[in-house]
Parts: sequence; C-alpha cells; structure tokens
Amino acid sequence: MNHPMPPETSEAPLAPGQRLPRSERKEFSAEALQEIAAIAAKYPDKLAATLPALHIAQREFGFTSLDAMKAVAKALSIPEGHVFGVASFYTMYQKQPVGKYHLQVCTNISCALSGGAQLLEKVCQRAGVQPGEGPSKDGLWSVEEVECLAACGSGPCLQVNHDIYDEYVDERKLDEIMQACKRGEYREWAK
Amino acid sequence: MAIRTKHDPQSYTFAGFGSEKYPNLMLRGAGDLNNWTLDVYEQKHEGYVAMKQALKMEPVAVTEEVKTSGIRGRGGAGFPAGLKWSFMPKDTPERKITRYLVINGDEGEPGTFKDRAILEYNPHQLIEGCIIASYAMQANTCYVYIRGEFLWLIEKLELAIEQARAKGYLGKNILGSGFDLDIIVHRGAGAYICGEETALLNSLEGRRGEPRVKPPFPAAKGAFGQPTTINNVETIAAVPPIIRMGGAEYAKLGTTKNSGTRIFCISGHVKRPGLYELPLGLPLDFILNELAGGSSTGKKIKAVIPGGASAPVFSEAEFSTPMDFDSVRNAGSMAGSGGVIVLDEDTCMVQACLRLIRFYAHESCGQCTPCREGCNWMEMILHRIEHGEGTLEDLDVLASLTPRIAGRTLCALGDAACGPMESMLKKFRHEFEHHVTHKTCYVKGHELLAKVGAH
Amino acid sequence: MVRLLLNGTPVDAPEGATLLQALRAHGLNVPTLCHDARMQPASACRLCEVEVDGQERPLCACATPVAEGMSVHTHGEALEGYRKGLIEMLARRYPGEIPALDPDHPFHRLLLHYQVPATGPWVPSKLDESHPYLRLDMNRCVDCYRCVHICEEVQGHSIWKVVGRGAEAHVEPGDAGRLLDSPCVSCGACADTCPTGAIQDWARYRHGTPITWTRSVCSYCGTGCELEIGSTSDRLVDIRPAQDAPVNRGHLCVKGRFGLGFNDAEDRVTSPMVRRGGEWEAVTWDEALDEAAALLLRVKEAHGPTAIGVLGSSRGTNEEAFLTQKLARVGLGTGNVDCCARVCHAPSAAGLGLALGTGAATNSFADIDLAALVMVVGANPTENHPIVGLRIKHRALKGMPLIVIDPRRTELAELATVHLRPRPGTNIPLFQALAHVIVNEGLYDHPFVAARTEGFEAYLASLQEWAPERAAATCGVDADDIRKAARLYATTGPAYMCNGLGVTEQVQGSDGILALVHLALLTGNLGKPGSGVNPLRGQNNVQGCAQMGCEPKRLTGYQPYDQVIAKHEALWGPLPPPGLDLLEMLDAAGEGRLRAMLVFGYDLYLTTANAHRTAAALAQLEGMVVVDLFMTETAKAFGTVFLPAASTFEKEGTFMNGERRVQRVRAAIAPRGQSRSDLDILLELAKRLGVGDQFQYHSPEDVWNEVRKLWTAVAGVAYHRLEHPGGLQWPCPDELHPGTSILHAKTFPVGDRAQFRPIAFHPSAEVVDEAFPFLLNTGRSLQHFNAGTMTVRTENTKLTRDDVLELNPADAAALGVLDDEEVTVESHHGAFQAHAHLTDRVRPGEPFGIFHSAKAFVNRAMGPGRDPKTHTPEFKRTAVRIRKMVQA
Repeated sequence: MNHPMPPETSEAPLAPGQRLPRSERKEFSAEALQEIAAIAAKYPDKLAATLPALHIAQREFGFTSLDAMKAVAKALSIPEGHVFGVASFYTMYQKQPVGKYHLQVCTNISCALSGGAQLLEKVCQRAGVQPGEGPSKDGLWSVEEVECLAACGSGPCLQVNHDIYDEYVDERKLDEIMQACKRGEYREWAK
Repeated sequence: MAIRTKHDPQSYTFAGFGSEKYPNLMLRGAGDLNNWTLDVYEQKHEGYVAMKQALKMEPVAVTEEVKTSGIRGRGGAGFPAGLKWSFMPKDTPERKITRYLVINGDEGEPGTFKDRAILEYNPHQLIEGCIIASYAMQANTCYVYIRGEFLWLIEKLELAIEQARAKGYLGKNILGSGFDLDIIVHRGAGAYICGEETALLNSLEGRRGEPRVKPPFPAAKGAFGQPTTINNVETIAAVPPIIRMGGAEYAKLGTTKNSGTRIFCISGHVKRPGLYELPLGLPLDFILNELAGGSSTGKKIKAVIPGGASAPVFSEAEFSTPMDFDSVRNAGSMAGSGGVIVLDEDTCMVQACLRLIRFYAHESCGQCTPCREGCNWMEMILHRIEHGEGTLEDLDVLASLTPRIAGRTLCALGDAACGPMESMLKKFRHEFEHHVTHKTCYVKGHELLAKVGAH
Repeated sequence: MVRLLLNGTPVDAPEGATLLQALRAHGLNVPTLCHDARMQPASACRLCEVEVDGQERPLCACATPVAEGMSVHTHGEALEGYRKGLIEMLARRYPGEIPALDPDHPFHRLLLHYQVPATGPWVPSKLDESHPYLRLDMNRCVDCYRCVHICEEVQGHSIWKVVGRGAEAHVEPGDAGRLLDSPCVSCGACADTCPTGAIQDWARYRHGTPITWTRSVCSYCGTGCELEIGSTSDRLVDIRPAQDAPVNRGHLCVKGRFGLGFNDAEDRVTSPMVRRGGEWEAVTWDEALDEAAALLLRVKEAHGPTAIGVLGSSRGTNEEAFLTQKLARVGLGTGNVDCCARVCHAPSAAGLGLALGTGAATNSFADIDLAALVMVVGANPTENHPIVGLRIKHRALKGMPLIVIDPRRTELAELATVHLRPRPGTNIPLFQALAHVIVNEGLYDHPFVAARTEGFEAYLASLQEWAPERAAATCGVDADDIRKAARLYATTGPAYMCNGLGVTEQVQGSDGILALVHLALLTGNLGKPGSGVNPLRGQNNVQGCAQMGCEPKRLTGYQPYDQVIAKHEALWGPLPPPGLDLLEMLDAAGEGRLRAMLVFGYDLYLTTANAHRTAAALAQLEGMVVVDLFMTETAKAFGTVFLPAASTFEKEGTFMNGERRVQRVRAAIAPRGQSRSDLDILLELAKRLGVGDQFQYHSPEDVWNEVRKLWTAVAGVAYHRLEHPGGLQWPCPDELHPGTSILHAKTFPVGDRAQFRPIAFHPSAEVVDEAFPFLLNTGRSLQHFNAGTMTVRTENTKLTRDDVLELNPADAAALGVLDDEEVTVESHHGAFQAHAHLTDRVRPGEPFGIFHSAKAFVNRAMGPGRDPKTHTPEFKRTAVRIRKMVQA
C-alpha cells in the first residue's frame, strides 16, 4: 500500500480533466447502503450495481460529485477509477450541481422540426441560465440540452428533473410548468 | 411519492386500433392510461393465455412457432427472432448452462417512441413475452434494460412485475410447469449507444457502455459471460400474439419475408404524427398521406427518414417504397427502428444533417478511431458550413469521410452516422453547396438549431 | 492447424490463433495502435483491418480467428489508403512538433510511413511531470486506451480510466489529478504499452531509447522476473519486462522496472578501502586483498578456522555463492558459512526438507492458474512479490475462492473468501485447528493419507487439543471462520498454498511450516498441478545461495553432509565439520570465539533482530571484510576492509528463483569504477589464501559445471540450455530432462511416505502488559526492498516513505498521534522512530513497522527470540509501547 508523502507545493493539475466538484455530503445514509446492497445481490457480479448505485448517489448527494463516486466505490468495494469512468459516460449523472428544477429540452431532429430549438431558447431566457452553466442565481433552475427523449410524435418535449415529462410544450405550457415549479407543485431535484 | 407525469395520451394518434384491416397486436388498449394493469390485460386482451399455452409446449416447439411466424427483430437490424433464439446453446448431460434473456428497452433512436407506448399501456404483454421467450430458451433470469429517462415507466413495469409475481406468473415453478423465472429491471443512465446490444450488456454489467468486440457473440458469451439473447421490447411484445394465433397465422400478416405488424413512429411535418401499428409492406406514401394526413405545413414533403435517424434519407423518388425490411433496403435505406421522420421543403438539409451528426458525435462511445474522430470531424465541417465558413473542398472531405467510417467501426454507430450524412449530401448536395457559396440556407423556414449553449 | 492464404501464399496457423498472430508469424506487418499481445483484442484503432474473401466488409485481424481456407489480403491499395485515412484522423489533433522531436515511438513511425503531417496544438496544461518515473504528456494521447486495458488486465488496477465519451473521451489517472497523487503502484506497464510516448519513462525522455537491450533477471525479490536492461554506451538507461518470460509474462513491478538508480548512486563505493586509524582510506586492490587475506590468515593461525565466519550473498549469483562456501570450507577450513536465508525462509527450507525431502517450493507460479483455490499464509505478495500477487489477484477477481491468513488486511485479504486474522505469534493453534476440522469432519483425502503418509494416528491425537473454539480464543479469530476456511481448503481442490515470513519469522517458525505441510498432506495437495506448499522467497537468489551450500549444516545442493561428503571430499579434499549459523556466529563473536568475518553483500547489522546485541557482538571482532556496493550500516560500524562489488547489471552468472528455476544473468554494462564481481574477488582471495589451484575457473560457466558434478538435481542444467526464456527448473538430472515444475508426483525424496509429526505449541516470550501494550509486527512495503540498500537510492523514495509505522486510527487517537507524525517505538530491547501512518488495515493493538530504513532501524527494538530449530529470529512479534516524540 502507498504511504503518501506530504504533498509538494507545486500543483500541476492534469488537464483536460479538471478536478471533479466535491459535495458537502461525504457518505451514504444507512438506508442507501442497504438499498445498494440489496440491488447488488440481484446480480451475479456486484459491479453490475454501479449504475443503480450511482442513481442512488445522485439522489442522496444532490449531484454526482467526486464524493458521491467515491462513496459508490466504497459501498460496492470496486475501484474508484471504474466508478469515475462509468459516471463520466452517462449523461444523466450530473457532474455539477443543478437547480431545484433541472429543465431538459430535447432538440433532436423530430423535436427540432416542431420547435425544440426555439423552446430551448425560451427556457434559457425564462430560467436566466445557459445550458451547462449550473444553477441559476436563485438556485431554482438549471438547463440542459438533451438528446431524443422518445416523444418525437408529440414534440417539443421538456423533462423536468427525472419524473416530469411534458410534451407539446409551447410558450404557454412552459410558463405553466415553471409557475407550477415555483409553487412547489413538482418534486424538487433529488428530493 | 408517486411519480407524476404530465403525459397526455389524447395527443397521440394510435392508428388502426380495433379496425379489421389493421389489427393491433401490440398496442391493444393504447391511449387508455388504465390499460396497463394485470386485470385489464387478462380480461380485455387475452392476457397470459399465450403463456399458459407455451408452458405446456416443449421449449423447442415454442422457438419453432416463433421461427414459423417469420418475425424479424424490431430493434433495427431485422434479424429473424426465432433463428436468434435457436443459437442459444442447450444443456448437455455434463453441463448445465446459465442463460440470460435481455430485453432492450433503451429506446433512443431519434424518431422512435414505440417501446415507450408498450411500456406505458401494455407492460404485461412485455412480461408475458419475456416469460414465453425465457421458457423457449430455458433462461431463468431476464433483464429488462430501460433507458434512464423512463423512470415512471420503470416504476410502472416493476409494479406490473409484482402483479405477475403475485399471480404466480413469475418466480419458482411457474404455474406448476417446473420453470423458474425472475425479471430484473435495469435502469440506464443516458447513453444512446447502450441500445447497441453489446454496449447494453456492458452497461448492464455496470461498465461504460462501450460495444464489445465480436466474436464472441452474445449467444456464446453475453451478460456476465453467459449465453445471452437480446431482443427489442417490441419483438418480445409480439411473442404472445404469435403463440396465441400460431406462427403460421401471424406469418400471413405483412408480406412473405416480412411478416407481422410493426409500430411505425411518425413524426415531423405531418398532420397526425403518432404510432401506427401496421402490417409490413404498406407503401410509405400511403402511410404518410392516407393515414398520417399528409404535410402539416401545407408545404410539400421533401424528404423522409424511413427508419429512425440512422437510416439514409428518402427523397421523393423513393416515397412509394413498401415499408418492409427488404424493400426499404433495396431502396437504399433501412427500416431500422420504425421511426419515420418527415421533413417538408422548408427544412434546411444542412441544419438537419448537422443536428443529426452532432447527435452521433455526442453519442459515440469514443472507443474506435473512425467513429470517435470521424463523427467529430464531420460535425466540425458541417458546423463550419452552417456558419457560412465552409468551402467546397469541405464537401469533398465530407464525402471522403463516410467510406472511412461506414462499415469500418467497432459497432454500427459509425454506419448510423454515415446513413444520413452520405444520403443527404448526395441527394441534396445543392443545399450544401448553396450554404458554402451563399453562406446561408437554401430554404428559409424552420430553424432547427438553438442559438444558445455551446453551439 | 488450419491452412489459409495470406496474400495468395498458403500458410498454416494453429487453430484458435487470431489472424493477426498468423500474419505476424509469417512476417506480414499489419500496423496496429491499440493492440498488445498481453491484452484482449480491442479492435478499436481499426488499422489492422484486412480484406477476407467472401466478406462484405474488411475485418480487424486482431479479433478475427483464423479459419480453414480463409484467403486474406493485407496491403491492397484501398486498405493502405484507408489506413492512411485513419492516421489522418488522429494526426488532426496530434501536436505537430512532437513526432520529429521524439521519432522512436510506434505512432510517430506510422506518421512517417504514411507521410501524414500532425497538425494539432500542444498545450502545457496536459503535461504532468509529478511522477518520478513516468512523464505524462497527454497532448500525445491518441485514445488507443492501451494504458487503461493494461492497467486493468495486466496490473489488476484501475488507475488509468477513460473519462467522457466521443471526441471528448480521454484517459486520466486517479481522480483527474496528478499521477503521483493517484494510488498508482508504478509498475510502468502503461508506459511500456503506450504507442506515442504520452506516458513514458523519464529515463527515456531524458536519455533517449537505449541502443542495447540485455536480457537478464531482476535483482529484487525471489520471483525471478526476466527483464531487459537498456543501455547506451555503458550508461544504464532503462529496464523493460521480457515479453516472453514464463514467470512474469511481460510485466514487472515498481522495484524491478524502475529500481535501477542505485547503480549510479553518488555514494556507491567503487574503490577498495581499508580502515586505518579508524578512518576509511582508499587503497589499491592488491593492498585491500592482501589486508583481507592477512586478517583471515592471522585469525585462523591464532584462533583456529572456527574463529572465522563467512556470509554469502543472496544478491549474488549461484556461482558466487558456491565459491563462497567453497572458499570458507576449502580455503579457510571453516564450516561457519551461512547466508540471509537464516533470517527469512530457513524454517521453510528446514520444514519442507524434513517433511518431504526437498527444502524448496513444491510447485510453480504457473500452478496458481491451475488451482481451484489459493491459500496465502503470512504473506503479502501484491506488495512483496507483486508478479505472484497479481496472478492470485487476477484469479480472485474472476471468482476463485481465496483464503488469506494474515493479521493485516492486505490487498489480497480484501479479495479473500475467508480472511483469518490471527494475533501475531499464534500460527500453530490456528493451523492445528484447521487440521482438526479437516480430520474430525472427515474431509481429508483418505486415499492419499493411506497411500503416501505415515504417523497419522499419533498426529490425529496431537490435534485434539486444538478444537476450533480453543484456537479461536488463543488466536483472536472466529471459530466459525476457522471451520469455513478448513472446509473450503479441504473441499476445493487442487489448492495452492503459499507462505511468507509471517509463518517463518516466529519462535515457532519451523513448526509452522510443518503444520502447513501437514495440511497439504491431509488434503492430498501435493504432487499434482495447482497444489503444493510454496514459500515465497524474498531475495533474487536466496533460494540459490542456500542451495549452493552457504549453509553451515549442509553442502552443495542443500544436501546433508552424510550423503554427499564423500563426493565433495573426492573433488575438494578433506572438509571441516558442520559449523555455526549466522545467529550462532553472533553468539560466538559475543563470547570471543569468533574473531573475523568475511561478508558478501549482506547488511547483517541492520537486518538482524536485536540490533544492540548484534552490535555488541560484532564490536568484538578483530576485523571484518565487507564486499558490497555501498557503505552499509554493517560496513560503517564494523568493517575493516571494504571490497567494492559489481552489481547484478555488471556481471554474468545465474540466479535461482523461488520455484527452483535457474535463469541466466547477463552483464549489460561494465562494473562501475574499480568494482569487481564477487566471483573475481573470490578467486583473488583464494589465491592469497593459498588455494588458488583449487579455484581455477575461466568463467561463471566453469563454476556452474562444478556445481552440476556435485549436485545431480542440476546435472542437466547446462548453460547452453539456459538461453531460452525461463531457463530450467530443477530437478533436472540430465541434459535431455525438461526440468521439473511439480515435485513429489509419485514419491518423496524421504521415501514413499511422508511423515506426520505431532506439534506442540510453545508460545512466544514476548507478551503485552501495561508497560508494553502493543504487539509490534514488521515487514516490507511495495516500493522498498529489504535493507533498503538499493531502493533508498532510487526515486522510489519519492513514492513513499521508508520509515513507516502502520497504526490503527483508534490506537492513534488514544495516543494523540496524528497521521504522518513521528513517533518512538520502544520494547524491552531497544527503540526506534518512525512516521505513523494511520490505517485500519492493522488492528488496534497491532502496529506494523516497515523495516527498510536505516534511519528508523526497526531491529533495534526486536528481541532475542529464535526458532529453536533454525535460529530464525522472531521479527513478527514484539511487545512495545509507542510515544509521541518530545517536541523540541
């Protein structure tokens, strides 16, 4: 095992992988650990629980922070590097903090043919943030441009967090949705 | 807390339902949000009749029935499902083999939204199909991989599985047949490539969704190193009707080598976009004009992508193509996932092409050189052209890139990216040239690209 | 064999081979970037695509199996154009100036071959120069992922990983920080496989690619990895693993791969020295040799030959060890000749020798791949024998059951099916309890026990006192875990057992080995593939050194006096009787009976337990001749003549690894300064001692041929047969014999039956009490080696501290000690200082001292306990107390 030397003063971080953001939370709750153990038991190899465990981590940690990934590695006794690589592959694991309502707009071809691009512009305008910028100042919104959500016949499609799925979203409907969010009618991100 | 969806079933068109001419086999009851329960499925839709029938048959006979039906995989490649099942190795007196059935519900092909409807309205039909298929292949575990965004559908499917288990349709010794089966739902996390079957296996195993080198093929070494068959949700949902009506009867639907019904997902510039479960072999223009109501914008339809975003585009000359696997292939495209995307004449093909290539570049796993570098290169060139910075040489480079990518990649994603790229450039080259020379779109109308974000 | 057509020429290829293997075997060079024969085909770079008749699309040769009648075309215009196209895709993002600066990398050669200019940018932020051995310039990365795959598939680690996807996919070490901050074990495999130099050895970055590669054997642990020493005009540049080596299969660990810096260390002594008036003085070789000979002759004259002790070096070659014992016995007339096996695996050799007749590993490392179960006892191979550890790790990761018996939670323990953690010094009750379960539950191999053993009844009776519950209380382990392990070992065959110093360096060392041999006998785990009892030998040639006769009670071949003395005397003349071992020599020195020592490559003062007593004894010597590379602690304190030795890189001969494998060692460079090989020095000394005529050798081969005459087990091991990879494993009685990888297949050298012997447990005298509440265990770390003589003179010191005390956080909290704080460890016998490393890998109350450092000098605290049969000291159990250092 490595017995670490005290760090040298010169810092030379290796780009392009900037250090992953940390979160306040460092450990899973006891219930989450139980849940992960139960999921791992369903598969012939505990590694298969990596994706489900990362979903749980995102719920508990608020986003897929470095700490969340480390906690997954620890919970499943698998190498951290494996978890980092997996988390980076899948877009639903948010590697940065997101707003209470994460607005995901599909702009792929079918939605684009029904105004997906314009919807994205309006969402950004209303939320006051650009895609990938992280949460808005009030912490309420974040925006992501996503690929096909399988609502091609009823686009444009807007997904709020991971459980609200709206189709035929025009300006009026967008306003309704955002108002409902503000009124707290929708479940907040990771709550 | 219960999952809320704002999904509005009324807004879909579910064509052909109940009509004698186009019988619905997989979308029975679609549109009714209460249709998904076990009670409704058993009382109204002959639910689990086929399963009971199958469990009394020899497993090999079930596979034979599916072979007789002639059904071809609905995921994209169109490989005969019964034949695929028969590749699974059998137990020998010396060796008992663990086999898996894996259901591909990673619906992500742009323009495709059929599996979602099956999961929404007919999850029990999928479960019943899983039981029959698992029994035929003697697999005792079935993994259903569903894309992560379909969280509410995953929860619904899990409830349906519980209902089936409570009735003794899942678990140990199903209905006294001696056959055991567990269905485990595995949630994806946002990666189109996981729809590729070996990438899906990696994702199921908790790895990056990178496609695997073949051979070994999944039937020899699939999930967790064991023989595995991977079928699309729609293919498996077709299995109960096949067993119920008999393979020979099913084979009468559609055309000779393209039997049965499939769900066409129609989107874009038509009056009635939606899901159309139709026998294979109906002409495209008939579907578009007679069923989907023709152009929604009043403009002429310029191009149709006939089989999901990966399919080479059809221009007017090919609109009469019968919509079955072979005819579409003979016309230079592919029937793929059944996603039919309709583009009217005000749609800029450069924009459409860039949007699609951006998708493939974004979804490339990055593993093999031609796909990783090639898709990125195509996207950069198209981006230049779209922004009025392209040159005519760029068009030649684009044309030279597709043969370096298509057919040369580890999985089919390279081919998928080249499908639209090559065909759009060939059939609508004038629009690309116009973009280069006039630094603007050949047509004015729809703006397909958002002016926000990193683009 | 299948027949295929390669570009129209019919060729045969073995079934199951890949097309790429077939192409390469027939000299057809298809380019590859992502391929490495050590790994699964990746099929990712697509450069190896070839056209196969009847196939619609070209196929990747690396992933396509050969098939009968296949017709393959490899270099058509279309294919070559396509390959160029692929290179162009990569060159687009590749920094333009790099290929010309550093042309000798496969990708740069491809750029040149296909005439493709690189046109990408170079940015400084992608440079990581933190690691002492590996320079990272990720501007050069072409995403072939070979580093990722080799890290996982060969090293069993996940340091390198792919992050992101599509064009943004890239490889990163650790958690995206610097490589040095990651848990990298610095095996260098990623640099070996990297085709661009994105990851490369600093040595090659600074000095260029070596011009000459000399095949040799690693000079660190007893695994015996074959390597290639890269040199340029007499400068030692780099080391790489030998790809075709059966032992290490193209892989090395941090020590073997990078630990070469000591060879040119500034403080290497390269001229002979004599101590005059207390000070060292450089002299000529003649003066030094004369002085050495004079000392030895003077003492012999005045006090008799038994007043001289000779220590052979386990770092030197077999030939040198052989001549060392011959010089002692023939030249000086003393039987007092020993080596460092005394302080490590003497009990293994003695125990195995007593029970089975051969004091060496019964099986080979290759048996790990054939085993259904591996049991690791008192060993931490992923750190101390990394190549062996890796094989076990790979099997365990793939689901093979693994039993680990170790007080510490080692890397393998984390992967173990059962991990038994006995308190240090309680092996006997635990091993006996395992046997108790196996016997009482009827799980033993009845036919094997009946046919090939004797003494079972008496042994069975002796086991009864160690029911699992009683052993559990003594050892501090769970009785059910004992049962689980026993059942697993007995019922999962074949089972490969390996042991380390956790068994031998105890006051019950020999009995511990005997108890383990009993377990193998009970379960029939001897004489068949995938089984056996296998001590993991610590030094490159410690097996060889003892086997060559640097053993006071044994002659050449570790053969008993009575069996082979006639043969030896016929060749050498009358021999002295058996003499004193190292520990007895120290006792004798303390009592004035031993007056002079001749010590080859062995820092005995630093490495022998109870250092204060060692010092008191050695201080009484009239003189000591030290042959070494460096002024060791022994030489500094007690040497009177220093003879500078050549290193492994500078001499010829053979080493013998821990699986009885004799392999060739070759000189890559000339000895530094005036240093000479031990062999030269021995011949010179022999001349001066008046026995020059008995030491007429013209080469190491000459010496070896004499060994072959005296020890039939190596009679067939001729030098010319050692030219192929892996050398030969003895017994190999004649030149047609293929060598023996598994001993005792049908009979034992002791006879048809091996003897069970009752074993009694004699507890250690080291007990904890209020004043000394901790039980100190000691051992090694991955990055450093034994006395540290070599590794502390390499940049391994930048990777980790060498003076570390592993301490459980609970103990640390109670003591108020912080991580990395320096503490004092005191026993009844002495004290040392070390940096506390807080880790729950050690249990509360059981700190673990890493012993490499002369600064720490852990052996000052070790006590006088010894294994009564072999005198191996008790390094693994000492009652101590720990104090914070007083602040200045």
